[in-house]
Amino acid sequence: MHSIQTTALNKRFRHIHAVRDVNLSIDKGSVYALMGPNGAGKTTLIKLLMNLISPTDGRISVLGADVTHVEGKGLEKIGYVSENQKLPNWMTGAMLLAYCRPFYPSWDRSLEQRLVTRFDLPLKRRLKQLSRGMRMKAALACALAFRPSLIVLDEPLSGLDPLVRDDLMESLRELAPEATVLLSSHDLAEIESFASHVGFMDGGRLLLSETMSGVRSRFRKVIATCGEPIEMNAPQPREWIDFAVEGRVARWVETAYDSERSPARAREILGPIELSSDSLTLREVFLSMARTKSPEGAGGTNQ
Amino acid sequence: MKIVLHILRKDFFRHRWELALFVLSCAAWACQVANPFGWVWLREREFVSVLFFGLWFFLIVRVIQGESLVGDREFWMTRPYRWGGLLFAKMLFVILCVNLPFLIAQILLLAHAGIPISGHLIPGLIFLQLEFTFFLSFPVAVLATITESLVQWGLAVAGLFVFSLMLSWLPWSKLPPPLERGENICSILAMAIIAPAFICVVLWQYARRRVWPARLVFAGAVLVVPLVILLASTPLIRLIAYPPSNSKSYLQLSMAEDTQSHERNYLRSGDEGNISLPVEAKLTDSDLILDVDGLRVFLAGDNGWSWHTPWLNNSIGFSKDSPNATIEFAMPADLADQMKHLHPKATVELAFGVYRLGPPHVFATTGERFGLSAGIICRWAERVPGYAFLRGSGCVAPLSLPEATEIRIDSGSNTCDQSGKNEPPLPAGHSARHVEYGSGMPADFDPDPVRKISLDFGDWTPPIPSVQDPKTNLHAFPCKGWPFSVRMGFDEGKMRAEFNLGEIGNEKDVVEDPHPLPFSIRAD
Repeated sequence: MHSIQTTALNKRFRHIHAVRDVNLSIDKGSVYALMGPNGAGKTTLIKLLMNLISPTDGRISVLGADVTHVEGKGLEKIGYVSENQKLPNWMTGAMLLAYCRPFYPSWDRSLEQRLVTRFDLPLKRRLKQLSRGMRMKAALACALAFRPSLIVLDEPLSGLDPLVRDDLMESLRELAPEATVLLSSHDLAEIESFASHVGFMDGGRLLLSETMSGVRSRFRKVIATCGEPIEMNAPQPREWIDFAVEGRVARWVETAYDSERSPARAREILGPIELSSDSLTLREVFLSMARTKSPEGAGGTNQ
Repeated sequence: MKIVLHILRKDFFRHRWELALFVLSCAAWACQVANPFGWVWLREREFVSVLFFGLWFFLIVRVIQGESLVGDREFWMTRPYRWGGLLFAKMLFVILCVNLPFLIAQILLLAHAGIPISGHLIPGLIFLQLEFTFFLSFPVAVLATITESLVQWGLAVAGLFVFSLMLSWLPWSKLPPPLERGENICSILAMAIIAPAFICVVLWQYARRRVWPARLVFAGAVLVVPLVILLASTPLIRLIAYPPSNSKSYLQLSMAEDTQSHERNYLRSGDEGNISLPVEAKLTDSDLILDVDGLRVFLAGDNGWSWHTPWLNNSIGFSKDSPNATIEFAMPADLADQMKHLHPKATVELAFGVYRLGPPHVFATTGERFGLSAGIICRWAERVPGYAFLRGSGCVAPLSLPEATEIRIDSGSNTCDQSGKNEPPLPAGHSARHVEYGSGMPADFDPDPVRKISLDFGDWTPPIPSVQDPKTNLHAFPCKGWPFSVRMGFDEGKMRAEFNLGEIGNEKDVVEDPHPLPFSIRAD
């Protein structure tokens, strides 16, 4: 069962093709981290999923219904927080919570209280008087207190200090254990420990979309050492990205690593070599892919 | 409904200071309207009205843009608002916070003017609120739905102002002037286009938030305005507004003999010749009043010479008691000079409204205050001790006036000095009348709900009008205690008809203006 599914999704803004042929599926209960450099199309994709803008073409299904139902009653099960969102800054924290409460039949007062305590929210101060981190916490409290089925967070951590980031992520993990979470962030270290799935976007395309464990096993940093200067016997395979040769040493990132087939193929191409491979952090995967920007190199968008 | 009230409560709280300021400005405006000469200095009087209506607009824009419909970053857009509920909450806010204080101010103004407040005023008061909602609040709100902030809204208003300035620079004077009924038809046509377009904009924005298409629809609706103004001057609209009728159905019009107040005249001033033609109307029914909205004069002379005026706005009226009037028009002086030798004959085409007067009702005026038909209340004012008079805005009426009201006084019961020179009383048989035209609507589009009537009875009319009477030019003033005879008139329709006036004059009628004016006089 997918909480979110898109088919051949496209969004153009006059001359800018912000989202290109995105086929995305996010399983119910998963924590999906959407990565990508600035301008990759992450925020546009999230706005499409939240029905804030309309797609140029393609189909979107959110919580089993067409995206056009993501309005009014359809938003009673979706919590959304974005760094760009304009909060009603004239309200105090308490007013914001009190104002949001009647909109959600599933609002949990005890959870609200726990969130307030956990985030140490100053309820009597106006939002405009709060720091950015505190405002994000207030928004997150409003997005979590009704126990949403889907939580969509667009760059919720950007610009926040590490302490606040930890606090937010920890709260999310604890307080919304059953919800599907879609999260776009640059904070790869935080995502790595938190996400169950990861997607990588660049230039409007979804270059990669799969489970975190799949990424960890598939992406390997490979170092080949040869007795003589390395000469290629065959063209570089698509699965090798970020490939570099320095004398007798070749380094690359294998995007479809297989412990049996990958060393054999490397020897076919590079001759007699000694191979060592190591797993990559999410940050290293992100950087390799950002440098390569090839959907083929990413190995498709398998779940 | 719970959510609607929840949003409403939030808006009340958020805009409480603006609301308090608006209510204060509304009270100040009402005080100023009730006491136009006694409350604030002349300059501040404008300021009070500007402040009141400025805050009216401000409050509406602020409350609409509290949940802005432009952009995709608004907090409310990702919350489970139902668009219908949100729209309803905003409408309720406008009704409770804008219309209600305004309604209370209007009721107080009516009471202050001495008009008894009763249930029969309710439909008119509601109609007036609807008018202000439709013509004032609604366009302001529509613009607020397609702009993101107050500044953007202000810029859009400035843009509309510049647009209207540019429109005013267009050579509208080259078009024939539109006549009253033609303007009314075009106003209805404009409303029939603009109102649905504006409703679409609001619904589209609340339901779908498609800003640019909504803005285009708004701009398209605004562009309808100059087209409709243009349309009002066209012969087609004039034909629809004033369909041709049999000229003898209601009156016969002929050239009249010169009298002291109506005489045939040709005054040449510079390049322009101004011609006055006295006419006399014989109405087919003594219960009719004819109100001329416009006319044009056709001249034809020897050797096939002809010329005609454009349509001219002309406010003349005919009734049984005042059958005489003067038709005035201008023509190029060289043409007028040429015409003198050609024995010109005139035909006049009138575009007019016909009102049929009902039976007369006589009202006693012995009290300090007395009532007439249609809720009209009059009050005698005592300028000097012992001398009551009724001049200026002596009478008031609530909300609107009937289509025509004739108030008549007769000298039969005359007891007071008309000239102020201790002259003997006017002989019986003289009459004077005042005709007041109104919209006939439940309420006029005026924030002040009190209709003020300046009673001006004109000169006394002698028993036999054609006989010259030394008292003819004596201005008629009613005296306290004289009975007023009131007849209500109802619109029987607008029409046009042509009347042949015959030969209009010759060379001897020409008078050279001894003091030509430094500018030309337009006939309209």
